[in-house]
Amino acid sequence: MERKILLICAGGMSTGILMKKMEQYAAEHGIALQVEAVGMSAYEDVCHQYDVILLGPQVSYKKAEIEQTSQMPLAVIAAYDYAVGNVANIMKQVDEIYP
Amino acid sequence: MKSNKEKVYDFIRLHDTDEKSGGVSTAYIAEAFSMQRTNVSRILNALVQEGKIHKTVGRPVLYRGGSPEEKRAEDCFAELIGKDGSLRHAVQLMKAAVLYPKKSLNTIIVGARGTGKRRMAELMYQYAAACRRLPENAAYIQMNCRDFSGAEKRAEAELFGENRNGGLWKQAERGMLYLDNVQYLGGGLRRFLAGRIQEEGDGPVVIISCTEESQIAEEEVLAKFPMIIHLPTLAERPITERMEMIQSLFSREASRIGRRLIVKEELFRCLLFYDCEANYHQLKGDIRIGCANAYVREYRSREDILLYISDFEHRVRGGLLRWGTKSAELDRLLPGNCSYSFDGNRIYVQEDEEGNLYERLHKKAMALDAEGLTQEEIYPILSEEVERSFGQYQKELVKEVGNREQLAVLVERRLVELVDIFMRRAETELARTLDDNIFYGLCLHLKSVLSGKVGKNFADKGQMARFRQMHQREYGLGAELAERIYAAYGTMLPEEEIILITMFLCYEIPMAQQNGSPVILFAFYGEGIASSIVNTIVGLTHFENVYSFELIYAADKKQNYDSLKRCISEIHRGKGVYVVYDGDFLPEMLDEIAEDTGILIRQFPAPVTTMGIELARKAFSGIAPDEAYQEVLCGINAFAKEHRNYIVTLCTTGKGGAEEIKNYIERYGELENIQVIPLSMNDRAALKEAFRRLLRKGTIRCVVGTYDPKLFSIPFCSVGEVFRTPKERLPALLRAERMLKEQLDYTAIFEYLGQQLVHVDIARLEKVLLEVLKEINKTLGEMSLDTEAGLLLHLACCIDRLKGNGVSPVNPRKAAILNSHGKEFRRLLKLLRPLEKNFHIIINDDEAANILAIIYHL
Repeated sequence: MERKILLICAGGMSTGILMKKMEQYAAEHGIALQVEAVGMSAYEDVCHQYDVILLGPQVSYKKAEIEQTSQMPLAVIAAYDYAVGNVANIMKQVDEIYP
Repeated sequence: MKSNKEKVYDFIRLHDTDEKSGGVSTAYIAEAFSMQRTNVSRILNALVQEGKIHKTVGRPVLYRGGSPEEKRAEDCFAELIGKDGSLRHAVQLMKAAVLYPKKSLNTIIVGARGTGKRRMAELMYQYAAACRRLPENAAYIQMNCRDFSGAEKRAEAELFGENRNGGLWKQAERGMLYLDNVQYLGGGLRRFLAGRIQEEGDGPVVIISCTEESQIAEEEVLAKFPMIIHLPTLAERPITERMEMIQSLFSREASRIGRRLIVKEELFRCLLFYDCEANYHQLKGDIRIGCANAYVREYRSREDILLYISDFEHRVRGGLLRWGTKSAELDRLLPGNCSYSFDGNRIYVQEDEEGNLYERLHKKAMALDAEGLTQEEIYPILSEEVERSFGQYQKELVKEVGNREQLAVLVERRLVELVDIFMRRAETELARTLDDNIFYGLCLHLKSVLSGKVGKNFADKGQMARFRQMHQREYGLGAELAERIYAAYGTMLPEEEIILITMFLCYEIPMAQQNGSPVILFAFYGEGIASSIVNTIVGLTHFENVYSFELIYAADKKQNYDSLKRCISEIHRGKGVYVVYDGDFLPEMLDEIAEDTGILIRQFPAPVTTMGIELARKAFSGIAPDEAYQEVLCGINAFAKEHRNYIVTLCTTGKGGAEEIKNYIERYGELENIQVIPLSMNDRAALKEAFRRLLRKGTIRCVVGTYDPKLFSIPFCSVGEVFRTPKERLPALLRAERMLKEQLDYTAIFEYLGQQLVHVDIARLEKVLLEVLKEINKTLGEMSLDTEAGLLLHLACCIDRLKGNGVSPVNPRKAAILNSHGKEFRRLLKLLRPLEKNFHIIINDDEAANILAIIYHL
């Protein structure tokens, strides 16, 4: 089953490079994955096309707000994993909130 | 310098040729090197694990090297710098490729210019030959594809012959073919090459190299090269390896020239730190040019050749600007005031003539000036020199003194009392606590001054004036002490002496090195128990940071204490020691050692012996089995006390102030499971005792106070910082997120960024961006781990996009943010300026608003 993940950060850029890394990881591991990265100002219109939302740690303070507006499973990516693009760990986080 | 491991390995190989003996024993080696047996056996175990040596079955266990063939194969790597370090993985992969069953694997070597791809390919051939994976006299054929760039037809003819039936390919049959810079080979020819490759049979084993993995995109080519080996750039390799390279290159040049080469410490540092774009290759070239220039200058004389920085290409001098970046590590590698000379066989380290502090500085300044360095280039070197020379002097002084009793033996009471009074006065005046070492150092220094042992100084007037200017308060105190000395002893201290006294107040000896990591010590009763445990752990993990200590039943407490203390001081690497112990009185002993040595010690009780004795006794006592079990179990649980967390608040004016701080942080700090303890700072000894009591029960997370007591390496937060920090960010501050952030692996982060970003120079980004983040933390308040890690990535991507002329995302709330946080906004713009300057970009208001929103959670 394909998973659809929406990444949110301030401008959609730093999650953009994570998106690339996740796509690469999915291809290497044969996982069906659809990932998109957007900025804070653009998530509301698109979020319902996805299964889960992941937040960059720099916007973790928006967690409650986004949870409220989207009503979707959501997690903040751990800082250590985000900073080095550790997709394996990030996928574990996804498994936890969206088994 | 050879590591102990290498020494032991060489030793074994030297001694096991004697067939009768069948090998050497641990004890024999321990004696030969006068090393501890446990350490030797740890090294031996590691060597066995690596397959470099074998051990015999039966007792006594003997160790010997591998078969002559294995030895020859290992010898291929003898000269390879980093074979056990940054190239370890590459070497392992390469061995695996060579030893692959039936036929060695075709391999791609990926590495930037000058990282040693060709050398690696040659080694692969030599290793394969030594392991007899290639027939005798097998061919090794190289071709550099760059020579055929754009000349497809010629390349094809060279490689496969005019009729595709000869060429280098044919010559390399049953041997190896190495194609350097394969990115210059056309895709068609690469595919044709792949088609010719057979997994078995006579065709050559093929090694190709390129500078980036992405340069080879053809699936069918990749399919034929199952092994990919990446080589690190020079900047990615540890500084110790660069040091080894420099040394080996100088040795090589020295033997080529046939004269001894002398290298001063400054030049050494330059070579260690300048930007080597083309990696090892460039380092080699630059050293050769430098030596050649020096040779031309001196070729008429027959004396040793002294190398100057000016003999080298101008870029080498760039290393000067990175001065001090890795200071602590460097001091270990390159002790100050030394020259190194090379004669092709070995390296001599010579300490430069001593002289006193000022003389040394003066000479150094003159020498640097003579080399044509500018004032700006000289100054940082000198001020670092002052601190280092002084630090050394002070360390030297207090080496023998650990407490007041020892001091009393060496220095007369009158002087000790005089300095004691002065110290208390200085502490009040400077409003900070002064380390005991300063006290001991001053006493001993003054003693030698009064006995007339210190010679006349030749201070530079300008230097002295500058120093006075920089440390006015301390200098005032120094002058005061001089007056007291005059009053008591009638000796007038000269100006230079007053400055020296002042230095005691200005420079503290760091209690521990900044680098390093905690080490683990097992302290157990009984012969060989601790060392067996340690051997098992090291064998399983290969981490060499675990040590053992044998407590001796028969010895008295004092003996055990002394030898344990010595052991802990020896193994300490600057970040503390975890002690796993068995023994009732160890907790107090360890507390005392922690206090005596200033080393952070954390205790883990493992009361196996106590438990065993209890069980044995209970088993005989006739009580019901389960009852005995329960009782012993309770006894053990009592060992594993609940661990608590504390924050200590401190105020110099008394306990009232500390109470106030406590109330404030309890109210806003969101302290879960953390108890706040207010303490007064009046009596340092009592304070130490109070800290020790708390540490026995738990961890002190941080100290909040007016001044850092510098006790037990506990993180400190100033009251000013606490009140300045916005309330919502207080919890992060108190959780000491700064320490969490220290665990961020910046090398890995920038490696990741390097893979993803295209428009920025990653090395520069790392340098500038980390500096900017540090300033933001300082000026706008400490960010949490989340915010900082996120902001780092945000800024990196932002710079990359701006450099690539991308569009800035519009921030719809810009106006509102500017309105509410105008002042912070302006400060932020100033903080971001280094980014603009270094990367030639302009950060507009939308970008800045985004950044501000991240920092202030808007």
